[in-house]
Amino acid sequence: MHKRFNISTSTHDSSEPPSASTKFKWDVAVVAEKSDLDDRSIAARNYATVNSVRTITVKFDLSANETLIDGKVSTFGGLRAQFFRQKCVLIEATTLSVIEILYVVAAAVKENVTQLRLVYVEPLDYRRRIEGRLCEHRDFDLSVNSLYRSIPMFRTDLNETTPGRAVFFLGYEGSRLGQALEQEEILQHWKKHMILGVPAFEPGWEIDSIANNIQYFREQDTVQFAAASSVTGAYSLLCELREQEKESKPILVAPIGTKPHAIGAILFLIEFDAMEQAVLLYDHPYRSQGRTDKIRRWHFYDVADNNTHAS
Amino acid sequence: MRNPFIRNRTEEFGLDVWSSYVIPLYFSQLGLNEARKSCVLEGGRGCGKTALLRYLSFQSQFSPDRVEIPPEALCTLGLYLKADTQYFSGFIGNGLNERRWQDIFEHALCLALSEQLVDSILTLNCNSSRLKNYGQIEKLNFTDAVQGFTRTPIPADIEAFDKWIRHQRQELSRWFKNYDFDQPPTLLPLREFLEALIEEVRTKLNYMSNTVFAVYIDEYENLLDYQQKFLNTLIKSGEPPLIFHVAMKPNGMRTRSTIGTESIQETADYRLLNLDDLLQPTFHLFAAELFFFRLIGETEIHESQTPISLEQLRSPQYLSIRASDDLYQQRVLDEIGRILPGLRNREIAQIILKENTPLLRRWQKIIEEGIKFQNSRLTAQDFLDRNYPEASIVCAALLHQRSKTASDILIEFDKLRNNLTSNFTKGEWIHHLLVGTILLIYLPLRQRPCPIYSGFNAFTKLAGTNVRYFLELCHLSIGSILPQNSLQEFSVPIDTQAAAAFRASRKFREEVASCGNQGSRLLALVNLLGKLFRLSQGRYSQSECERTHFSILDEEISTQAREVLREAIKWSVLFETSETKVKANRYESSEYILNPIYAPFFGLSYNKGRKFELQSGEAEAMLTGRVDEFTQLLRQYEKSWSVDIADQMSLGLEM
Repeated sequence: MHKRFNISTSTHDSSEPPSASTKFKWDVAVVAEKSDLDDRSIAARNYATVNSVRTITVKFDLSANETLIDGKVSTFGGLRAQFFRQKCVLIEATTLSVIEILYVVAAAVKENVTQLRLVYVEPLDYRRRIEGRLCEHRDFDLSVNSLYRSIPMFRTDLNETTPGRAVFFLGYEGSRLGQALEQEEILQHWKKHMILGVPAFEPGWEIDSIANNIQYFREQDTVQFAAASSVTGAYSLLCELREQEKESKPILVAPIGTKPHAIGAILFLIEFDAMEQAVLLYDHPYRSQGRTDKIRRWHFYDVADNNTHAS
Repeated sequence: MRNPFIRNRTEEFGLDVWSSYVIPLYFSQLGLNEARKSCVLEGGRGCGKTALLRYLSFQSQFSPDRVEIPPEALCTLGLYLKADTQYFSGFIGNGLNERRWQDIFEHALCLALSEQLVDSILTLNCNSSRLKNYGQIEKLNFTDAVQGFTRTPIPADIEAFDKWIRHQRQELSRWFKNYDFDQPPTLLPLREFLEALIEEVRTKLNYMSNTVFAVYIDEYENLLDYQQKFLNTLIKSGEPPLIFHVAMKPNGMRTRSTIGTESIQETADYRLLNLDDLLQPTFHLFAAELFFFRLIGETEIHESQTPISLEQLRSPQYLSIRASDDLYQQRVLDEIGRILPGLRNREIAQIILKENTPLLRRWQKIIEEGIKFQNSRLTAQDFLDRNYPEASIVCAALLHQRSKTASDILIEFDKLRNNLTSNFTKGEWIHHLLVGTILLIYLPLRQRPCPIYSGFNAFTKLAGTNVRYFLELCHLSIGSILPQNSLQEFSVPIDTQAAAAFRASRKFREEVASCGNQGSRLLALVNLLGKLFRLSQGRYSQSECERTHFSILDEEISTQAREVLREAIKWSVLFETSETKVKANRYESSEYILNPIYAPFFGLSYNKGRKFELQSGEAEAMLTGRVDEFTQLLRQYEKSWSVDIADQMSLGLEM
């Protein structure tokens, strides 16, 4: 099967980052505007800053549907300009939101960046878990739901789209899937694939994802698994579905699970969006401060674009 | 073989519902076919808004399944539009001002409705016999009709014009793909463009010369404020041959403004139709009819084995028979009562008092504690008479009421047994306390299905006016045990139904988390109220029995709390009614009833019993507070109601 992107993955099992290279620095690193949310965000930002010549912050302002670079309103063209003639780009994917990563990767790919690395730092634990509320009944969970809303460049009217396959990458918040199905009833006509992060980051965590989402599964849905930390797993799964879909019906992707799965989904969206074979459905959750504690391990995803030299 | 009740959302049936739609008994009161002014259809989840609009739209009215199309079907032609929320809610910002987005929204809506209009003509002429009856579509010339609106060439014939519209939509999509918006497409003015198309159709097709085009916009509540204002403008200016109707959840109209300086007013500009209110009086019969309709449609059971006729349920002309023929109604209700039997309260009382059951032991425990509370020398045996099961049951609560003594209660019980007038009947002790006491006895025994929730009558009370809830209750009750070709001797066991009610209740409670952007907050509200009412239900005295609704004293709550209440009503988590029985000098305010579908999960009554009056501060905590405030509120009531320790154990509700 032909795939546009090759992904090589490496992990570093330590709370400390790999030691900085004295010889190599990334041309530009992209970090989130607000990147001091928890231990891992701070560590990941420091890693990106230390290992690059220049650092920019990117923020997607949902209320205005606008992208900000270093705090200033910009455009997709403006984002591309940041990567003009840059060979090596490092993306701090721990704290950047899914949408921010999507725009940054899309811009970098358009500018033919040859070396693209995403870094994702896995926490030792989620604070919600420590409080013991996650495994208990979610009687009084007050996390804020967000509406599914289209974003610039990825607007698709589902009422006007031939129903194809809808792929949900699931995490432990069952209400996100529930809300997608409630808000977008049109998805009744789509063949649904429910993707769970198995193996999970830690053994046993998958139980929460399954328990919180299973009420929304229907007999005719396909349940599939991809390792929670695997970008390749998510990307390959989508590419395979794309290939299986002989009638060229669209594949809708809802990356509402793990960040590595979201990165895989992003690569797929970039690869197929131009041909209108991939559709994004996303709910823009609000992330609170101090969600996680400490650091378990570091993941590095190096993305090579097979089309780079051709274009 | 499909389970006949598994599909419980209209969306699962597609746009053409001609063969699957049961006309609701209130249909003739709507007058939508004759409406020459806008209507706003308001109704809670599952009351049938979408199904109704789809039935009225051309996809159903001109359905290929409809053998003959009567002339009145051409008087009003319905165009249905359900906006894709995630798509239209993204129509903001991106460097463009609201005015510009309004034009883009108008354009997108114009293209969608133009496509519908063209499709309606093609659907009406979908086969050779229809073409023979109607036809003449070659007379239409869309170049003449709307070329003035754009510089791109517009094709003349209908099929090419259909394609042209599709291309315009694709062009809009392509423009959206380009983040930085270089060259915008030509944006079309909705009303003018549609009116020009309608003019062409009315002029060239003689069978449509008097047709009024009614646009039905579903889920109006999901539109952004400027989008609602734009539609309000269309509502205000609507007149034949183009009228706009909208459907929405309660509280769905956030603004009455138009894009001009005026706002829209009920009566002057539109007629408000509350579908829940219209459905409520006949929901019983409608639910029963729907039950048999679905059975026939998706099993081998023939309609002759049921009390209904498919044709009658599908056609408006039989509405008066269905609504007024007592014999027919009785037949339908008797048959569904046979299939989904319930127990009378007396029979449930008899079950509780059967020897050697946990229920009897529970009754005995409450009675004995009551006797102890009364410092009486009587025994539980004195209050047990299986010939008087209802009285025996309510004694359990009476013995805990401070105003009564054990001996007085026994004297009254003896009067009853001797056929003398007693408070059990005269004072209505049984009437007031029986349901509450039955629930009290079942309360900690959650593994035991409570028969109060069984039976067709209970199901309709749990469902309110939510067709989806009713179908799910049927689905979970009947599931795999449905006989495929005969209904004779088929009846669903009481316990199976009660267990299904619990499962449905749990399912719909969990679903609250996905109700809009305050879903988690609404679920917390349901859980808090459920637990609070359960605490009240667990009071041995039952002095405030069957509590399922509340009011807020002085209604002094924050804007944020009010917003949560609005959302709760919008999603039918709570129902709002005007307050009854206002005490002292208080202003009249509102009562909020917890949706009865959650009753089986929490072990509550589905009746509207005694009201719970919350202090404003408590309501504020309940609607906007954090977890520790909820716990504090529950603890405080637990303490003041002094529910005993054993019952507190059952409040965790971890299932």
